[in-house]
Amino acid sequence: MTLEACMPDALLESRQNEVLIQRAMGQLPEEQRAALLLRATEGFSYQEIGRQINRPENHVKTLIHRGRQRMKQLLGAHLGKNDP
Amino acid sequence: MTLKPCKNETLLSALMDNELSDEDAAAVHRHMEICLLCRQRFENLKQTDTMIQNLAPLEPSADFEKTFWRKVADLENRSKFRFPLRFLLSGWRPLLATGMMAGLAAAIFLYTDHEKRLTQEDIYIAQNMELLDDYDVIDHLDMLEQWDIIDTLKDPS
Repeated sequence: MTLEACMPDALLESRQNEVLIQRAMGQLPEEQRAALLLRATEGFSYQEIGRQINRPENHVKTLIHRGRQRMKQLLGAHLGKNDP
Repeated sequence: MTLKPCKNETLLSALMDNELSDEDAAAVHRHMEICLLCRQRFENLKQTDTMIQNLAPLEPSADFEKTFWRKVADLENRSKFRFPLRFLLSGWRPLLATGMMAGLAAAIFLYTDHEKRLTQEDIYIAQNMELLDDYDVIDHLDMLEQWDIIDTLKDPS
């Protein structure tokens, strides 16, 4: 019997979503992924992120926004999110 | 300056991240009160961001540290051997380079040595190519030694 077969449905779905999100993150361009992760998971400011990846603040803002848009596209079909 | 989130969607991300000034943030909020499209986009961005924030951190593999330092060392070694000469001087490469040079030298030696293998006779012939055209003259050259006698014999009178 596999591990997935023993898991409750909600937990299994949550785990599957996590895998989907991680795969989607892997498809982002490197800079977008780095900027997005530094902002979303680490909470760095745009200025701090810019210093870390050696990019100006405006560029960081664009990277983060495009990263979020791309993630929305990649996950939209799987998670049932509709784009406006 | 009038902010237009409809045309510049990055303003919505910046608002969500508290990266706008108070004045700009207020302007974007006022815009979203009247613009359904920007409100929906803002909500979608928030949902996407929440999903990413809720991701469990990836645990590195057991050999992550070892792999990491090995890759750093590889990068350092690669930068050290930037010049072809240094590259050739590591490991088995010097032997290969020496073998190739020796082979090339042998090929040049054999080729040039073959061309220079000329006998003295070859040299003599080359120097006297014009005379070979008149082989008869050379063959009977000894007759010219007695030419005085032959000349008198031609005209008895």
